[in-house]
Amino acid sequence: MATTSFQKKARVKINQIPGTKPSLFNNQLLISSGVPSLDNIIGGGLAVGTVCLIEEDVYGSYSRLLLKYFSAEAAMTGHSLLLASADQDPQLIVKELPGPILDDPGDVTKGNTPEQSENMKIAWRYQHLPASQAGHSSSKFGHYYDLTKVMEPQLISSVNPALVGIEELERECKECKDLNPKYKYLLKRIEEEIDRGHFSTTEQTDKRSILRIAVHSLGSPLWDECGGLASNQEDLDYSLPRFLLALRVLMRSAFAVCMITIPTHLFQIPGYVGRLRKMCDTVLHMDSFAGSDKEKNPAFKEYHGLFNIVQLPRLNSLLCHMPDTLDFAFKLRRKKFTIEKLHLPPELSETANRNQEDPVPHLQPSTAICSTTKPNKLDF
Amino acid sequence: MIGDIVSGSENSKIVLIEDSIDANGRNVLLSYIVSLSKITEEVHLLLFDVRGQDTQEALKSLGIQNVKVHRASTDLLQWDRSQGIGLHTDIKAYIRERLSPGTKSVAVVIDSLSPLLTHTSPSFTCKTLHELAYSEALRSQVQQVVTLLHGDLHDDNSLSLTHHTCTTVHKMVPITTPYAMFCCNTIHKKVSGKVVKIRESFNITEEYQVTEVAEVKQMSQNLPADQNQLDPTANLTFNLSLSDKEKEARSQVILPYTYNKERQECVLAKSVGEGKIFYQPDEADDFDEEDPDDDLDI
Repeated sequence: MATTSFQKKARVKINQIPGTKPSLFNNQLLISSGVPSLDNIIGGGLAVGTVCLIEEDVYGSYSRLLLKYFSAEAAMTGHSLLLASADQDPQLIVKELPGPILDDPGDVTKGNTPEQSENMKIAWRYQHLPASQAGHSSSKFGHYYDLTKVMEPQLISSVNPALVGIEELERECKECKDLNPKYKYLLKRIEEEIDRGHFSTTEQTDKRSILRIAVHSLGSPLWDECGGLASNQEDLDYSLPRFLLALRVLMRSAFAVCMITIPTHLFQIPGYVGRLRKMCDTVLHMDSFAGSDKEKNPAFKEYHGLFNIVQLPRLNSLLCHMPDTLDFAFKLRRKKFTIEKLHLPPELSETANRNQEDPVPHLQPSTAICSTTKPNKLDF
Repeated sequence: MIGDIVSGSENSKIVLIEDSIDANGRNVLLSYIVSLSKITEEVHLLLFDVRGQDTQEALKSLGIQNVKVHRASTDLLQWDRSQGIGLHTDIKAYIRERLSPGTKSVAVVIDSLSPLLTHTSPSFTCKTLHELAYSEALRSQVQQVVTLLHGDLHDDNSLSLTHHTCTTVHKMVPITTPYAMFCCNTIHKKVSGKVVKIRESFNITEEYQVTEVAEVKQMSQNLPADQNQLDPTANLTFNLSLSDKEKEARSQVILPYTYNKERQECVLAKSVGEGKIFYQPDEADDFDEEDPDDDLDI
């Protein structure tokens, strides 16, 4: 009898937590950011146990929208939510969460196809190819939201969000020498929330869920932050990087995902922003055209801003996910916010009236990506 | 734009008027006070500036009743332990105590934020502004907070933090157009999230009304538009515009890469990645009927 000790390793629990899926690249557990087009470009979604930093656009409106999508997704998937904001009343943010679109968005694209089926004469070989950018997977991961509607209050209260506003931060914070007391209080609050909901990885519970932590406009002057400077206006204040490091440590041992928006344009010292980026896993930067010259640039007519991927995490692997292109732009239609590949419009005029220099900055997503950015002599 | 914001038809919670030695902003502040005294029941004016006297006197001459003046400039650091307002006073609590009972709408005007910003940290100043505008603690609703700031006294960092907190920033600039006394760059963040950025010139009447608002266009942007409008199809040696008859004739031409109908459909029916071999024998080809391999013994 040739019996073998080899047994097929059966995966015992596959994706038992609602609203999560394993990554195709490294089997990390992912959750949706609430914007499916964003999930696609960052490698499927946000990995559980990581911190995502959104560098705010100058007037903060688009980054706030992204945070709302992230929070709304919590209500849709039944995840727990902790929302902290000093600039705005968190009650107000929760009230303004966008309402979900419940019917399948796949039908919308099908409606368009009959128009295109008219015979092509010259390029007839392309006739039966699908239209571009329709390649989103239609799996049930991540929801679409309608910005013209707000989410029903019952749906929000079903997840019972924990809200931390400016008044609570003011009241509860104690004097603390080595860390900004507001940050310290927020850390304590997050730790309590993890304990209370049994989100820690060491704890065994029957019904696992994910804790979503959304922090709005961290490091704005209302958090007692003076653009990274200490109170004497000369030295640097290291509270914020320290807070982020401590937060990341907390996240690593919990079934939690944190999304933070920071107005990095308020920090005048570039090295300081670099430190902040290093302390987070995924770093995304939103560059809105509102109030800048780019608003009138014909190259950007269709978009509302550029979307830069600054850093992607390397988790359980040597390489991070690398999207096809790094030029992304976002647009806000009446109902929907999408992130797309940046396409320049066709140049129709005889004389070039567009600036010859490339208006899109070529950003190298430098940091967490493992290869050295310096040109190597061995490279061809 | 500035006319709408001053008159209150365009809503803005925190307004900052940033002036400099070249372009004074006190007149704009006064027009705000005059307008607010009509819209709201009570206007609280906090004087931190040494030149706050000017504002007070101008208001006296106009004879407006519902402006309450709180002077602070005499004892800013409260060395005399006087009762008045100082730099570190909790302005929110101070105003709450001095509200007339039953008032529903209040406006707070701070004549010059500059002493506050020089003596305290920028975050303290921003927090003060934010609390005044949004705090629940002031029971009657604060409609608007208007402040003056001398921009040339402060560093960029403090200014950018203050701008971040405000919803509207008027930056006074020296005039460039004739027939106008004032000119300012306005950045206004609407409630919807839209941002308006505009440079306007305007006049202020003796009753402090903002009039004759006109947008100042940047000269350099308008110039090159007309020159490129030459029609490229004007002098062509060939025909670009076809009549219907000519178009039909053109569609009859069989192009080298067009296949017959049947074959085209066959290609389209295949999914991507599959192929099929077509063999079209040409005329010169002598097709051998016999099996060319029958002599082989396989």
